[in-house]
Amino acid sequence: MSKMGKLLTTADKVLLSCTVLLLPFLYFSAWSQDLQADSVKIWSSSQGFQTFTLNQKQKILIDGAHGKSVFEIQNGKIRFVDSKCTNKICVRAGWLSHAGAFAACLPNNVSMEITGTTGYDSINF
Amino acid sequence: MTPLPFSGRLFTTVRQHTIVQQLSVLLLCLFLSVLSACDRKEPVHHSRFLGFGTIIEITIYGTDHERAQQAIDDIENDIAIMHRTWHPREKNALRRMNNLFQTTEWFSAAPSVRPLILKSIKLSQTSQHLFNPAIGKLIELWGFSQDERPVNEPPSEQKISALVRKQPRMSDIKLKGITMRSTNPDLKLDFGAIAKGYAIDKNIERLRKLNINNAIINAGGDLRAIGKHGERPWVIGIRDPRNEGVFASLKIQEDESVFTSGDYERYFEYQGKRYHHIIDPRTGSPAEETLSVTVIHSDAATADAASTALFIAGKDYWHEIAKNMGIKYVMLIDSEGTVHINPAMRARIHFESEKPPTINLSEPL
Repeated sequence: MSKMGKLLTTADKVLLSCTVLLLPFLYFSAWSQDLQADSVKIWSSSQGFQTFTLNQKQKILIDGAHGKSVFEIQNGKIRFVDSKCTNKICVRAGWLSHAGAFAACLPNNVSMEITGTTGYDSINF
Repeated sequence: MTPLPFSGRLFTTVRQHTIVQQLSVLLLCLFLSVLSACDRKEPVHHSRFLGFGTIIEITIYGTDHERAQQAIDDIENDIAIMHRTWHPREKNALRRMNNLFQTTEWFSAAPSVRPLILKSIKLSQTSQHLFNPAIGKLIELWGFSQDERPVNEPPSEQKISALVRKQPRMSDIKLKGITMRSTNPDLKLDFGAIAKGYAIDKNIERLRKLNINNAIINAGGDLRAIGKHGERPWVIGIRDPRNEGVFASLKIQEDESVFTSGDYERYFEYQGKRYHHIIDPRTGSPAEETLSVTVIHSDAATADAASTALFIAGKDYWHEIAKNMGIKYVMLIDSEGTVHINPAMRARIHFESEKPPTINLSEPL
């Protein structure tokens, strides 16, 4: 210990302890990724972006270009229940739960996307 | 000048440095660099807007956000203009030309439409007229020229076959300098299977002129990607034609377009039967036996036309048409769910699903 004491000054000790304390932060910032798919971003031309959690059962009404689009959230999933359009392609998309899942009602200018990292830069369909 | 006690001890007594000290400093530097990396914004800029009756998503890597957004705003304006100019139902240059084609007289072509016609004539020929923008009357009969088709019964067999018999083709268009005419009065142009691709090409050119060389323009699922995402290539996920999620992925090689034509993109259901928007010019009805076709090609306009042509060609003829059109990468999923794919495409596609699909490997293209 006495040898250590000679080698390390007070400044060294402060530096060393700071560094050790900061290690966990370094670990998390380098290795943890934003993988959770627990929220959904809903966009409409009249209301812009809004974010909702997928962990809470709820019904959401969004104003689109021609009327309301209705969403339902349940058990970490979301779907279009109804929308102001004729073909209901948005409703047929059904329940979505994966990060990056996307559905839109183009006639009513409303879209939704489940947030989170997907590992893809762009989706082709 | 009194040196700060900290820096004095740390940096002046060099000979006393131990491994512990050096390691601490190293770690601290690492920590600081991570902190500064956190401060720096992600070098990826994302933006999404409505255009061409769909959602356009633009991703730009390595350009500062302000400049990237400026470029994207320009593209948004440009696409709005292109959409109006080429929409089959707007009062626009295309409509005037369609009226003039009916007269079968010579007229001078609108400069905003002419390049699209020239490109379409070539692609139509190499696709053996399966890509056929001259069947605008059929598309209209089916109601797919409208942004949203009302849900009612499909057109009658009689009306369909009457139009099919007229056989309008791009080769009916004759060119003389800046003038053109149609020898077939039933030719009506609908650029639904190429306009989006052509618009993507034009806007990739625009980005390049602005010295933005790492980007993806994705218009309703069809995209062209240039450059890279930093050190790694762009990774594209291909959505499952029937289920939620991605079923395959691929890496972009420098500058490529990835286009998919699917029966799930635009359709209506009547009495339990699905009628999708890809009309076979030979039958006048939606092409059966294909779920989706994905092609990779350098330019987006060709990829756009090819994905439609190969969808119509189906599992028995896609190979022949692809060869004719010079397409090197094709994946076709037939109505049974079997994946028909050429070896070069197979080598690039990574299937993401737990249960790999049935694969029918073709001869090389």
